[in-house]
Amino acid sequence: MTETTPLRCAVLSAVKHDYVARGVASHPQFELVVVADDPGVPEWVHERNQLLADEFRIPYLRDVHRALTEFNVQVAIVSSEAERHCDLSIRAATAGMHIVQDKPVSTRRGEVDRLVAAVEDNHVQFLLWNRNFTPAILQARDQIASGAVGLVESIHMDFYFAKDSGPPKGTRQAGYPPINWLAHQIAAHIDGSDGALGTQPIGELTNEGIYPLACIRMLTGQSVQRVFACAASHFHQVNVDNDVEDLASMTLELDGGIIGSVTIGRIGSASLQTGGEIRLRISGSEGALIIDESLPVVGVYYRHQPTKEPRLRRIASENDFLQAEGLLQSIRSGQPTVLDVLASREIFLTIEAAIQSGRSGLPVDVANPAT
Amino acid sequence: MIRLALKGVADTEAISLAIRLRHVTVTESSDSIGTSVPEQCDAVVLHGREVISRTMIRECLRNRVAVLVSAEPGLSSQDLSELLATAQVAGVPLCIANPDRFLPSRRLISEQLAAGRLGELGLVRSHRWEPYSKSPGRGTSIPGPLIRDLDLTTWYFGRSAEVVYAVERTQSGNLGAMQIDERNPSLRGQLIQVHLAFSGGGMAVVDYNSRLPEGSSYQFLSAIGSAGLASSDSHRNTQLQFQGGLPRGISSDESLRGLTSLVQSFADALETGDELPANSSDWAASLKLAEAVRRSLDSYCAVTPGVR
Repeated sequence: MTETTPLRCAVLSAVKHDYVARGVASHPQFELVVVADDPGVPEWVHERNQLLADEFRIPYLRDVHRALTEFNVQVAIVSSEAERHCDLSIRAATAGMHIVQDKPVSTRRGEVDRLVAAVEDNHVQFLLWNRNFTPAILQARDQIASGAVGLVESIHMDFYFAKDSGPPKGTRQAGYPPINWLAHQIAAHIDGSDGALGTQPIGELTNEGIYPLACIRMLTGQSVQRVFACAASHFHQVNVDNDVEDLASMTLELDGGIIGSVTIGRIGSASLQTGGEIRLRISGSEGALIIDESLPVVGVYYRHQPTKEPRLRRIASENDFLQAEGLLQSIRSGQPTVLDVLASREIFLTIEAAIQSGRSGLPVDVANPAT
Repeated sequence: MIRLALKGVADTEAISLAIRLRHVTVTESSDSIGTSVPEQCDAVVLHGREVISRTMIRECLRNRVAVLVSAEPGLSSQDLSELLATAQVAGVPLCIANPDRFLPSRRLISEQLAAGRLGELGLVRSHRWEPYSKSPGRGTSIPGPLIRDLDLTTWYFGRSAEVVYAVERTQSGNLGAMQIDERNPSLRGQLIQVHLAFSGGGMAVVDYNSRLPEGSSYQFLSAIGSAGLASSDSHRNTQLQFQGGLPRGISSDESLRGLTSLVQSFADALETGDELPANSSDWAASLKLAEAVRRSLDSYCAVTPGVR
């Protein structure tokens, strides 16, 4: 295969989001050639996979092994429910595929460790899909690299999705059963707010925490050593019924004495014009940066505009292309991706510590991967 | 008509304030607080970032001059209790007020919360970054502006924090007790972050940083509730000026409007005998919270305010 021949990609389940597969396919050097999933998944999963296959005019197989072995693929793209991420990625790594995986890396530490071993033993590349290459984050990176702030001393990120997630907290009437997590997530697919799809409920720390933590990691180059966190089911009845948070805050203590914080939540569609608010604030020995991660945007306002339609629309982001380009360069050079399997495990351990801290009310040291 | 002395208010600001106040005559003003009790006035406003001595306040009360402290008094919570007791015995109003509660932006956020438009408050997020030259913080003291932001946070929640965890950055790059090095510009200033947990799942992250280079400050405050969000951001409230090269930011300033509102409320209360504009015990509680922040910093542990 020459360097100009596109890398062939197998999509291993697109039941949750297809944006990862679409993102990779946005790069001319990647080509989706097959969609596949395990035969025993529910029919509604097969239906969603089939839709993606039909759109790209590629086969859909109810057989992951065949997809990995009969289609001459080099890359596997995993976008299943969170609880199946690692299993599919491990199988792909064992088959010698490079992997692009949707977040979160996993819901169980043992699986993360197995994934790390599989990736390392098979010498393949791993990329956890992230938002590190949006225009504003790249500007922040460039400013830091140029010395504009000097040595980074503190870094703070607000990461809110202004999406509703079912009925508001406190609306379940007496006698009615708790909202079933999976059923709710299946229904939420229609507006794309089903990022926590799966049978196992997961809160926003697990579901979305990787995004701000990956950004902080890239911009500082440092690891988190200690976390103090607060977490609450504050907005949505489904989170209350399933005892997982939709609002959280973390104080982070990083190597190099860097102080960090993340506030994260699925705060409801009334709250923001843009569909979300992601802000980055960095202070250093020589200056500071205040970054609105959504920029550049165009404002769109019109009569009878639907309430839930964002008024400020992001434009000119090349995050998808740059993620894929980064993976391509890593495959060619052997250098790690911007969010490789080891970094992904670090982030998992940070989130694990944050969840423990939120439950205990105490600061928690982030586990050493070697222990 | 209330005869009012202004201390710790710059001349230009005093003039601007005087022309905006109703039923008030400004009898004197000075940009420093000093030590002398003003004469021929009904009340005095002690403002600015100087440390105010309890002796000064006690003398004012003894001379039956009502006192509004719109500042960081540099008083301990015990000092405050004693002064409030003195004022009560003397029958002279003493009002210790966080001036930031009267800033239009902070007041607007409070009004949204009070009206229920934001639902139940879940998260307060606050950043205050300023140049070292504006910072009154010295040594291991908790800076006054940080205490004001902690006070705003408990005001919005309407209750005290149950858990406090605080971290700060040291000169050596390690986390732990802060040592200011006055001689080395690169090591001046404080960087403290306070994380609060409230009953019912409420939370707050309050960040103070006085290590910016000389120039403008940055402030951000957001209150996120179950039904909405209100936020005030210097970033959004900054105009752009182009003079070649990168654009320069021109910040908006609401401080005069805030001070006017506070002083007018105080003067009105003196005239009518109504409630003072601020409950001084709120500030006393904020001082206790600051003491808990210090304990957390020193111990590297999460602490419960009021429990030693």
